[in-house]
Amino acid sequence: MNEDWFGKLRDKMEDYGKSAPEGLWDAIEASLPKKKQAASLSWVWRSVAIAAVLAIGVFTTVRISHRYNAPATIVAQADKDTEGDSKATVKKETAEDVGVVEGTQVKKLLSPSEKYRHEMRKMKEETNIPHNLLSSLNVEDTATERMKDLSEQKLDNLDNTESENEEKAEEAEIRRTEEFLRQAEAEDKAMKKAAHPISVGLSIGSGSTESNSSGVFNTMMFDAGQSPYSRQMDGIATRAVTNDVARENIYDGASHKRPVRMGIMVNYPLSKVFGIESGVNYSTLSSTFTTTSSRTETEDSQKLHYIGIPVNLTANILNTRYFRIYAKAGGMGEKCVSGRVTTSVYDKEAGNVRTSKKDLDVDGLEWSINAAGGLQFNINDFVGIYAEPGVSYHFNSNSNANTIYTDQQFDFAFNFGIRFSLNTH
Amino acid sequence: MTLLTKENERSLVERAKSGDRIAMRQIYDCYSNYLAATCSRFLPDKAEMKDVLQDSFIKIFSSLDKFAYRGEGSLKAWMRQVAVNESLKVLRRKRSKVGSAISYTWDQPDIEDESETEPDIGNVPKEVIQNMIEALPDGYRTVINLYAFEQKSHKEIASLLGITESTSASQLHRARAILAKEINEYKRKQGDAL
Repeated sequence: MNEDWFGKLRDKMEDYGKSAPEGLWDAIEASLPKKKQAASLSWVWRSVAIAAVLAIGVFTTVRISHRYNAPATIVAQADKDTEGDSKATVKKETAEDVGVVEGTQVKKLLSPSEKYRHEMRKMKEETNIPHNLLSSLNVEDTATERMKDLSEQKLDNLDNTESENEEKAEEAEIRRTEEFLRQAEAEDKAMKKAAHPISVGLSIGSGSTESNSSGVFNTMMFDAGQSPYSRQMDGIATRAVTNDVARENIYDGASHKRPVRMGIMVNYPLSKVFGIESGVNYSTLSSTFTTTSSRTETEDSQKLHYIGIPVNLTANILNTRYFRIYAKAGGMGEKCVSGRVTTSVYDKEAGNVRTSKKDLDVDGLEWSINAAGGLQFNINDFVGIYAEPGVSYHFNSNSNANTIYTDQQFDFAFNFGIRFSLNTH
Repeated sequence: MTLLTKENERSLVERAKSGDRIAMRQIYDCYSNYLAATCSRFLPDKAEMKDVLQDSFIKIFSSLDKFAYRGEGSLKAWMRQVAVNESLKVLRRKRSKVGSAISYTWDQPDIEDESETEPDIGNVPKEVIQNMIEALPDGYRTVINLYAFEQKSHKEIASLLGITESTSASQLHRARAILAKEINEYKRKQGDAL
């Protein structure tokens, strides 16, 4: 018996596929147990998020009205992740061979002869074995053993760090304002002399305090726009086409849009240089997943809404009346409060499209760390505009969702906004 | 295959584990044809194949919790194993239902030349080979499937099917001879046609 021949046979047929019976998926789907609903949980999370946003909104209003006569700082900010539509498309192949069937040959095999009948009687005797033997067999065990043999493959690291140069714009902006800054510095010196410290305990030894020294509110606004770049990775679709073989490809891919984020933040100064910043963030993560097989094209549009609580340590590098440079670093915990996926299945054979919508419950928390630099121009004592380029890293989570957080853990971010100052003097 | 495919598959599995129908559908789309071919080799009857494939997918999706992703190919291998087990269950049920007298048809068609040389299968279309295997008598087909495709030993096959090791070996021997003969004939025909 030639073992090698069986090996060749196995290899030859390894990727062979034949059309699955029509209507099979519908039958499978109908038999699957209904998914447990965690609606109550997501409802709780939604309520908490709304309450938190409202509470901070009310708090902000109170603070503004209360402090309005006093010098103060409030900040409005829009936040944007510079990392664009991170498209990643991978082609996956399975093979389906199309060949000529020689039906007549096959049928000929089955025609019995006298010898065959004789042999069959003999075989019946041989195979007449008690059936209770079968019940003691454990097929699953051999299956498990086989699975163990599968070597775990190390995942290659994706070298996907392409960065958009945002600095040019910033540099131009800096040059434009250099003149402005020189003027600002002169005025700032005069300002310092006139300033009255609010955080008296912290300013011992300095004798004076500067603007933004107390009660800074960041109201992160909204974000929209084109992605700075998009990336596409195409897996190499090997075309091992033999003389009579037509190949079928299955493509699957995930495309993530840049997160859209807005929020409100409070900065509390710990000293003249350092401050602590926290608040509430709302982010929308949109992704599209596509799967193409011989029969169907499936597109899932997934939209997840996250509420996050960031905590950052901020440090002023330069702080003048008109101009402020600072750095910040910290972490954020995020929870998906609501999610929805719209699925369109295009059935090529039937020629129809079925669309369905479904709510998603995403478990677990997303944790990330981030660092950013900040540049702020104060238009006047009360209002300033700022930009914060930075980086973030999302840790692996036990969440069941596939998002930009899971597919692209290291990311660039660009926040911008308006900052209102309270207690400036 | 690139990382993202693996990552996508891993994430598909995770989503399917949490009951995500879309992820299940994607897994189905990717592997239904492959498993249809695997099941057909055990159960060529279309209705039987459909039933076993349906049961296999239901079992796959309901027992995903027990599956640990071990890299590329692991999902496919695991799904295949489930489908093979389900196919064997049906074969056993058929056997016990019909009764031992005519249960497995351990047929013995004419084999004039048992020393038929093993042909080169490189140029034979996969569909032709698939059809030849599907057309084999039940006993031969089951044994050659388990031996050649599922890489079971005669001892394992004997235990799985409730037959003796020598029966398994002789079934395999005859199955191979029929297949070799069929392929040689096919190639001769193709050669004549050219």
